[in-house]
Amino acid sequence: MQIWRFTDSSHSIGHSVVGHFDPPLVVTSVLVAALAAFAALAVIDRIESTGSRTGQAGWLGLGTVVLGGGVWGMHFTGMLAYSLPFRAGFSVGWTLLSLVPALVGSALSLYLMSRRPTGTGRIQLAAVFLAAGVGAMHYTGMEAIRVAARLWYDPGTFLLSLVVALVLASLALQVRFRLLRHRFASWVAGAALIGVAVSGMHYVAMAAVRFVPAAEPAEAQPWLPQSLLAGLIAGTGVLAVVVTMVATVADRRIREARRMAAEHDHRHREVLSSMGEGLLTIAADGRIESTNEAADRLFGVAGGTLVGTLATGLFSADSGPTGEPTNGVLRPGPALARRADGRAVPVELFLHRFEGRGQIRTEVLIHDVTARRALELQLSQAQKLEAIGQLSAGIAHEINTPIQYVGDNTRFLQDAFRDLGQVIEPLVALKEAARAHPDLAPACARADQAAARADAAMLLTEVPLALEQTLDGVERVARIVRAMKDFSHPATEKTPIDLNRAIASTVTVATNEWKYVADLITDFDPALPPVPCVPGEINQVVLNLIVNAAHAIGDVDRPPGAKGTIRVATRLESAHAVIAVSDTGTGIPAEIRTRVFDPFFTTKEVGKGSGQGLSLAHGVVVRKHGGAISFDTETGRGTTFVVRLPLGHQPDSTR
Amino acid sequence: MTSPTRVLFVDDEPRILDGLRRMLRDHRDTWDMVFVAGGDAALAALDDQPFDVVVSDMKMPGMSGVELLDLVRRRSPRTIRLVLSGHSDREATVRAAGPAHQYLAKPCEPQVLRKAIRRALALRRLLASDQLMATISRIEHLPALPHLYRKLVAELGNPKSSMAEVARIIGEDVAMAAEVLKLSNSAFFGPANDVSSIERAVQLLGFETVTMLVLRAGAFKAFVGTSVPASLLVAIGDHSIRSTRAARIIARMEGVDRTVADDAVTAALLHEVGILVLAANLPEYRSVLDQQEREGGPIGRHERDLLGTTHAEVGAYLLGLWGLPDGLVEAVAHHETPAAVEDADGVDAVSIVAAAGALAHLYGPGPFEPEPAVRFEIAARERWPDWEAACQSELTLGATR
Repeated sequence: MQIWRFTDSSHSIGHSVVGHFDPPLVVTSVLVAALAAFAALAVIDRIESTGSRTGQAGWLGLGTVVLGGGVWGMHFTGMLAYSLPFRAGFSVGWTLLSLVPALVGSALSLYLMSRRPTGTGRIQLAAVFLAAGVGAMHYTGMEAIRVAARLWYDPGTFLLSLVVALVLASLALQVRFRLLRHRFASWVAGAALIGVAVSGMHYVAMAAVRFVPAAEPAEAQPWLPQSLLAGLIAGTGVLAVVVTMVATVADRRIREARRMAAEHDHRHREVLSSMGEGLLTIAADGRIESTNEAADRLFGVAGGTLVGTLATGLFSADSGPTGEPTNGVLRPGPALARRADGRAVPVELFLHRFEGRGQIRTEVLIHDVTARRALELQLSQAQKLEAIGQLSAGIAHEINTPIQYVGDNTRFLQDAFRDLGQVIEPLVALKEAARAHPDLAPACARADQAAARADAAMLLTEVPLALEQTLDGVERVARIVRAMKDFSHPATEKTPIDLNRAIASTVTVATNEWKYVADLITDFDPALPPVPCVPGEINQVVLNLIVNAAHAIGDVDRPPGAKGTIRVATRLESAHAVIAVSDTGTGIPAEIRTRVFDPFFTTKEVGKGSGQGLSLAHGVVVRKHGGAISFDTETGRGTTFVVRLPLGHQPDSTR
Repeated sequence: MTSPTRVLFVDDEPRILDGLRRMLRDHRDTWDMVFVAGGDAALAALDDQPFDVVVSDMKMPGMSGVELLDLVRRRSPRTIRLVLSGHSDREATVRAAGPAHQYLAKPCEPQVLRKAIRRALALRRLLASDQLMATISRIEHLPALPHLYRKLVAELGNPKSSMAEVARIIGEDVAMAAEVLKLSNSAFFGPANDVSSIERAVQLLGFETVTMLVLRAGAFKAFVGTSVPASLLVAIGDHSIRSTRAARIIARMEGVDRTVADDAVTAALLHEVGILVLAANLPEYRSVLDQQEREGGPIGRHERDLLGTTHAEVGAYLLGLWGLPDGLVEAVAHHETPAAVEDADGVDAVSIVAAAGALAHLYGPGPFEPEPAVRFEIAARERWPDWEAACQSELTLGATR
């Protein structure tokens, strides 16, 4: 009995022909299968680590093509290695058709392999699909052979070929997914075993083949030359392998790049939000696209508020307290940032133009230089004070020398005039006595005339007065020089000083500032111990407060001649020396009370104040001396500024 | 009449010399005055004839006032050396502290100059008196000026000196540094000082005060381990610190010149040092102490009885030997006899130290009774009630700390 191409062992099929195998091609065929398997396993890995469904499907498709193509390629390479003693060809239709089971089997098998977890049942099923695909492909592919012979299979060997395929495929997948821990080793071993499974099945199946030369000529069907076919097939296989490998590597690169990009992006965001500098991104039309947290903080707004506004509106030129508009152009360098609360913050801008998403954008880095400015200001102030200190020491010396001899000479004149008076007195008596003598009368008359011409009576009363006043003046000059020297104390280090005396000197130095608008009362606490401070700087602070007080009083509308009062007091308050400067001036308007210590803030007209006095005072008292400065004000009644200097209990804030 | 006092005035500005000559015309009978321009001329004049007093400017071309006075000190140590300078810096004061007995700032009124010269002469007379000399000649060991003090004065004269450098110098002498820190934190500097380092002490108390503490620590250290009873040493140490506190309070109240204040405070700190010198050197001082204990009263009176001189004079002699300023030496010499000072007027170092010592006795556990008459002898006796009121609470507060 005969079924399909199976021979009955009892049935004679006549004289059969056995083909020969070309060993190099056999090896090649095994390699093709193994390479394809290797690529397919690589692809499985990609499926596993690809997030998207379409990506997974794509990789599965590629794997299927590679593995199916590899199986197919192996088969036909194997067929090339098999030579028959007669001319053979392949039917195009059957050849292509044989690809189908290879692809289907590969697809199902790879799909199962890509699922997790890789349980024994799933692996086994994958092996079954793979073996079935390989087997079906093989026997379909055998149908494409066109020879002048009849093809028979030995049923036992036929069955054996399927068993070989199944057993080896199972083993391969077990090795790949369960037995070997090392990833690359399991890859290589698994791929090799799949190669062996595919080619093993093939060659066992070929052992089942019997050709019985037919009497009738071969059917008239299209033939493919064997060599071309083999080339195509092998080429396809190799190409598939190469593509897969390339794709795999590329995929890994892309994922790596994407991961790095995400990481960069994250880091970038983190840096932007945590950096101290403000950052604005400005679109080509000048509107703000994004801000970082520091920029929002700098301008005193909630996050995102500035987006969409014009960037130039946020800055004005840093040209002193007035600030010019920027004319719609942002320039790198110093500027003033205008805060939402109206304050201006000195900043430095760095601009960076870049092209992105088809637009030219500008990135503006805003560096807040308030602290640096304050330090610079303080430093230049300290240098100024030091220079003034040295200068006034020299001036004092120069003035004191002439004062010494002006004073000495004046006193000498005083004494001399007094002594001369004592000489003149008896001479006048002598003259009066001589008048009676007729011979001496003309001389007496001449003396009287001379005395009248010189207004001697007036000289006698006025000269002592003039000398007295000269000495007064000399004493006053000496006092001012002393005060000036005291005031511009050259010490640059903290040193304990008699604060009361220092303030008294400062009051003297500032006399011209207050004497036309106010009376100045001092009320010093004699119990004040020496106060450790940098004398020149504290004197400067007190001077600023006195000058401010005088200005505040000067601003009050008063009847002509009426004066206000400035009171300068010191007191000891536990661990602090307290200086209080009060005025009966206009008081500080409520709306600017929070800003009086801001640098460059001033309400005075140009030329009367730079707006640095109180800011400097704040810096000197708080930062340099660890003290405090505050004020108490009532509009229309006056202001009291209070400076507290530690007597030495607090740790030094500057060291 | 004794021969007139010979005074040499040195200044590079001839008008100053002319002015002085005219102004001091009244003294032509008592003073024999010579006016020379510059250091070289001054040295030439000194070669000619000795002078009792030299008054020199500081800043002069060629030889400076300091250099000149230094030479004068070496040639004739008994000559009184005064500085009259228009360069009224503290630094200049300190720099002059070496060779000059006193420092006067231009412009200087004639009566100030007159008084300075007269008092300097009087002090020399006192310190050269026969009774004092008789006692001094028997004293074998006079403590030397603390070496550290000398170094500090030199450092303060250096215009580039800094607090850190001063602190470093003191820190080199560990025992001295510890003593200075202890004194810095003692109650007499006022409420609750927290002085943890020498540098901080310099910053809080000032160069001068710290230098003064070094002087005091050094002076007292010299008597540890001598025959001075430990209890006496402690009692005098306590008393001097309390006196210093009172002197500071009074000086601050009166708003005296800084030089006067410094002199007064340092003098208060050292005014009893003569007791230590005498106790350490004269065996019979024991009987002075015994007599004081038996009969009570101020120690000076018993000293005068038994020794012919007093600890005040001995102390002043020692400090004069050390080259400390006249104002200070004078205040120590007269702390029990302020009325003996010539030309005493207003509040000067003498009256402050006398009052401070008396107040420290009154309001604290003093070693001896005060001279009850002192309060009536000081020139500014009308200020006494105020001083007493201010010091009373502070001193009793200090005693409980």
